[in-house]
Amino acid sequence: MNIFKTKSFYKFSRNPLSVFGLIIVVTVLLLAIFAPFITPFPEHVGPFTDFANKSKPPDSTYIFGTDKIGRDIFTRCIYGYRISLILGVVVLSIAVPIGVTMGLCAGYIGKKTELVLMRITDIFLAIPALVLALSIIGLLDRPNLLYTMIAVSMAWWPWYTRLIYNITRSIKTEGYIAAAEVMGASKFHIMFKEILPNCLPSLLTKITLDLGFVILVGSSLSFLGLGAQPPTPDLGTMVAKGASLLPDTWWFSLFPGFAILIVVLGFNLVGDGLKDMFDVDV
Amino acid sequence: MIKIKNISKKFFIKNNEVQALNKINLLIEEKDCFAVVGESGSGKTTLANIILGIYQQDEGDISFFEKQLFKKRNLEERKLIQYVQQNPMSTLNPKKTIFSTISLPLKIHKIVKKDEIEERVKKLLSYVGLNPEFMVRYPDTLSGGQKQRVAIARALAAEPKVLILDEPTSALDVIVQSKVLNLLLKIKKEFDLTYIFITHDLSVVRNIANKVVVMNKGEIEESGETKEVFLHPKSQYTRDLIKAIPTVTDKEDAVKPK
Repeated sequence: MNIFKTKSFYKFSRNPLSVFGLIIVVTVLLLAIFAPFITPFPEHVGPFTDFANKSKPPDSTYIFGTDKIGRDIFTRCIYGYRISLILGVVVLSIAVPIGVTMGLCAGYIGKKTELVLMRITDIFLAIPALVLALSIIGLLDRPNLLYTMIAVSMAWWPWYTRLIYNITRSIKTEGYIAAAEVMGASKFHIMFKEILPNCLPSLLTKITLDLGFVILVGSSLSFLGLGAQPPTPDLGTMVAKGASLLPDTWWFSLFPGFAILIVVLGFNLVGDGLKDMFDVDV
Repeated sequence: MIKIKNISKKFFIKNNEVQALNKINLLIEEKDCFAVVGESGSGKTTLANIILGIYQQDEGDISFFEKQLFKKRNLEERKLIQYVQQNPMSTLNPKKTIFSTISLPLKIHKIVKKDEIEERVKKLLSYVGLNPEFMVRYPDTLSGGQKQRVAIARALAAEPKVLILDEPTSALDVIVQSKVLNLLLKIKKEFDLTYIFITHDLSVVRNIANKVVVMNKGEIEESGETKEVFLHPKSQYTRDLIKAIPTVTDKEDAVKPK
């Protein structure tokens, strides 16, 4: 099936905002992947100082200006995207499988399994994601990127459990599930081969929307100093470092902040487009 | 072949108790076309679901070739009783191709070798009167009648002994209905199947069933040979049901009990 010829893709492509979002997302992805070839000063990413060019406002050489120790902010923003995207992908690849499996089990098996799994989920849902992530990082030794990823994942999976649980509950009564049961199909088969494919449109939409939010939460954590540690370029950390020097050296914070805004906006627009395209509620 | 003894089943809907089945006794013999008729809510589908092992009965026993059946069944027990559902719209998984739908029972019960699955699916499709090219299609491109044919092919794929048909034609239009019924009759003959035919359509029953049981409010109103029940109905409820069959000609009308 050619996805570009389907009616749903037509619906997606007719929405200028979704297409705009898709362009942003693809651009950001390409920038992050080809960062070493695109950025003018790849060496500024590591431990590098150039005090001759410190705190320079944006000009033709340094289009986003330079920071306190003379590093090109444009280069560091592009590399910051790498960290943000890796964070988003890793967090969701931990959170989604956990959430989906729990949701399928709770929804399909029911009874005591449902009771136990959903109450655990409720407990996690009751705590705001950022607070939960903060306390988990607090528990784990000293802050670094890996711990941030684990912490955000722990805060994120319950939403997937809830989503998949609700869909599973409504699909469970469909005739084809009964047919598979009568045929003797295993619970595993019914959950992952019969029910899960029907959850995919909602799942894909939620993952896209969440990529933006996870990046935002990741940036918030690094803004608080709990993300990637220097000299690794991280958008949240860069905003935080520059914030105390506002408004004099405005380019320290503004451009990294703008970079976060762009990528979150892009994922949200694409997610909204997918929502309309699949006609799902997440 | 299938002995049903004192089966009862209650449902609790918002604290209200609904007696779906009340002490049902039935004996279904091999190669019967056994019709279960009754109005909506009379417990026909509940009975089918208990025989299929979807529900557990509250009381009573089912035995199949002298062997007790429970809700939890092994593959061998599952294989022998298959069913075709009422609603063609929900009987096929919209995200699976016809091939993967029909090949599922072949894989679960290891009916053919892996490399012969495709051939068998093609054979089954052409057997139920569908083009083997349908294999690659998704259910939303099929009509109701075609979906029902696929469901029949899926049921046949498991090579069952008993086929439970839960109003297989009630959602189809009249022309497609008769085509599907003819297909079912052909299949029955060819595979020596036993049918349990659940329906509210008495004219269908008269044409294809050899035995019939009339159900009303979870109880058996009357049972026996189809001809006998239609010509000399004992209970008032059966008489009313038969009178309700729509007829076109006087000849058809003359068959009804006075």
